[in-house]
Amino acid sequence: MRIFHSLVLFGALAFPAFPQAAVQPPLPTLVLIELAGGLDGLSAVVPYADPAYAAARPTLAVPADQVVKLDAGLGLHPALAPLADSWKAGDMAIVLGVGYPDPNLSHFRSIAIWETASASNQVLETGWLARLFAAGPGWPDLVADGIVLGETHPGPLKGPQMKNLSFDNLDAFIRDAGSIEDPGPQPGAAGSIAKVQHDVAEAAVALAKIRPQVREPSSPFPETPLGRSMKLTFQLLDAGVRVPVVKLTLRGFDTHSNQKADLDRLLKDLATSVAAFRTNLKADGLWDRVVVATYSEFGRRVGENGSRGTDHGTAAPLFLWGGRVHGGLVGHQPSLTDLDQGNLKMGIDFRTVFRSLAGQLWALPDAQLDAAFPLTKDSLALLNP
Amino acid sequence: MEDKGVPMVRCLACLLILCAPLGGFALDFTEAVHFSERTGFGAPAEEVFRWAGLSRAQAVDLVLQHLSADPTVPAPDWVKPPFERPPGDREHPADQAARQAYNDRKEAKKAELRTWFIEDAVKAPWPLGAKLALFWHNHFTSSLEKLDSGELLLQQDLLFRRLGTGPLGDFIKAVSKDPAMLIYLDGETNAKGKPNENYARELMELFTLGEGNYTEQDVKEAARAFTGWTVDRAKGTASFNPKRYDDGVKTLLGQKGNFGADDVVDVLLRQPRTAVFLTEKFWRFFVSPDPDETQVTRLAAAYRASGYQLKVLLRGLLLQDAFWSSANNDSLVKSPFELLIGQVRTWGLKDYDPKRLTWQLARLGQDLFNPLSVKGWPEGLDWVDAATLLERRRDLSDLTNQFRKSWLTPESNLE
Repeated sequence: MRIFHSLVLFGALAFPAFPQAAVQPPLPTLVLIELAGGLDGLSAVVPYADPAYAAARPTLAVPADQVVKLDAGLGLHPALAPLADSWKAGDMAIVLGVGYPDPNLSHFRSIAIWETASASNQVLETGWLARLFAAGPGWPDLVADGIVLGETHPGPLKGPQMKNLSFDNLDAFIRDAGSIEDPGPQPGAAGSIAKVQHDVAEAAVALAKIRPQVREPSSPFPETPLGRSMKLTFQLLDAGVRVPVVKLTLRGFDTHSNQKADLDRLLKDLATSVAAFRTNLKADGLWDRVVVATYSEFGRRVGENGSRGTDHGTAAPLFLWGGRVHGGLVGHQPSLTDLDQGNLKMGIDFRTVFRSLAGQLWALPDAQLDAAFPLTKDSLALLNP
Repeated sequence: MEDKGVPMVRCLACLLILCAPLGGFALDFTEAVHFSERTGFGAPAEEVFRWAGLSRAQAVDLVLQHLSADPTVPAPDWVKPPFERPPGDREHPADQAARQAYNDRKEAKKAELRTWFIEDAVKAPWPLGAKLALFWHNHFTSSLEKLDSGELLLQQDLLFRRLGTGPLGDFIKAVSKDPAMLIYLDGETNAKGKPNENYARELMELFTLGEGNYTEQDVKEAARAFTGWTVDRAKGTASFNPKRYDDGVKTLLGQKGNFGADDVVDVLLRQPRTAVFLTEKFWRFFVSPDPDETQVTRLAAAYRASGYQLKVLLRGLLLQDAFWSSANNDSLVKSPFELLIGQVRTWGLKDYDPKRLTWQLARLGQDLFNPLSVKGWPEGLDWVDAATLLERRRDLSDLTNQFRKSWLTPESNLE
């Protein structure tokens, strides 16, 4: 009876209820890490050779002899040292001065702009990934369109047609979701909720199937919420879960006061988690199918404030890692003296970054990219073919 | 053990009501539950008893008659100014310990604000006031994240309760000068020669007319009229500074005058569109996701003609056939607050944990006093996605377990 319901109710959906035996072509996965709160880009990627830097940050400037030098002007925060291997191997890119025109310094407005890829003064209901996927043919046999780990907010994955999953613990999800009955056809609002129940129940079946393949990583992850989420991401991809996007969150970047200790901890967490993720995926032969990208609602003010912290700002660097990532610096470090109300002037529009990334990662046509990014047509070469 | 006996009594009452030959005039059990849920949170037995057997008009008049301007649970004392400000200043920075102690007190107030709001909604014998406070908070949005002050948000909530049930004009005029609103939508930085359009734009777009019913020029002109207001955060008051006020002539929606803040509100309320906009929003809150255009026009005209008396609008909405239609019985998706607080009330849980509920609500997407944007929280089906579905189920089963446990105490064997 339940199978009959599935066929009747959901036969029209894009994906068959159960994976077919035929082997599907590999599906690249984008792993997004939201650095929530507003990343102090000038502490993460340090313009150590610029005298204006030390002048703007009398107590907070990272000393030149402590940075991991990237070139003659820029260096990584010492807590990001675990990423030096990736940088040297050429599978880490840093896009400099990323932002958007007419920046909004409110957390919620600015993160909404990043998530929906809207114009600064525009409110859109759907995330850019939701619009991107809605405009294309879709991939067969997905377990989900997106998996959100750690926090449940789907961000750029938000959309009415999206099948997004969220869980902290795979076994708990399989147990909870597995106990959901398919309620069958329902009128009105209940029908839409029934669709979600169906999605979740179906995902539980698919995840229960791959559960025996889930194994412990050979290289350990840090025992932090992000480390655990990245470990689970690795385990899912390693076990063969087909999902185009995994979204993670590292919260705490709103460093208005005494930011040094907080940033040391957060950046170390990020670097060690990503480094472990890379080591394990490389050992697996899956590193070429994954791109990790960070984003944050904004960077922070150039001049430090009176509380050994930094206030909301504008442009910041965005990090990319992955076997196909064209390593190196992208764009230019914004000037520390030619400012807009104390804030950096952006160099690269974040919508150009994500448009380029999505187009190159999933080989999507322009028409589909236009649906998600109507405002930007430019392209950056971020991934190797 | 009176409260533990209630569910049993409720079952009996249900039987009685179903069997009684009440005819078409009195609310049956299903209708009484519906009325409880829509005008409050959940359907506690004592409320269902209250409505069952009354006529629609009797029930509606009774609920409006008990609509109070005060919360059931008194607000925490710290809502009375002066409000504590951060220690130290630029010349004399406070030491770390003093700053930390201040921050701890500040965060404790924010937590207490949410706890109080939950307690009030759980304990209200007539919960429509709490429900409207939630509505207005989600209409005239503000956020702890931006204000960083439990005091200002609580002060605003009490304003919503005090004036939100009266005429809309007085209410919006007060909201326009409310410190929380002046900070949240940047009114305090809006000054002659340096206009900030944030409040003027949202007032027209989200609070009164709706998008497409005004021009960019109207936004600019209205912003000029709202200049001059500043906030004293310690006193929790707004004051008018004529030096910052643009006293020139403004042209707004075709009308010309030396408009100030109150005049803009009057101009906006003369627009029939404002009545329609609010009526539609209340329809989606109380009746169904799809407002009936003909009925909305009729209700909006009566609302406007009454001088925007909220009770006139609510009475009209609650007496709509659409409100009572069985097709609309399950048409509204409960917000997380309605879902969880409704369950606590329906089961009469006594040992619920407001802090845990606060956390669960945030996980479900309804961080109290912190809507995601000026547009407020999601509506309808946006509440339920694959991420929140399991959470909603888990949280409900959490409450179910608490309910079950309350039946398994030694006292359950006694009477």
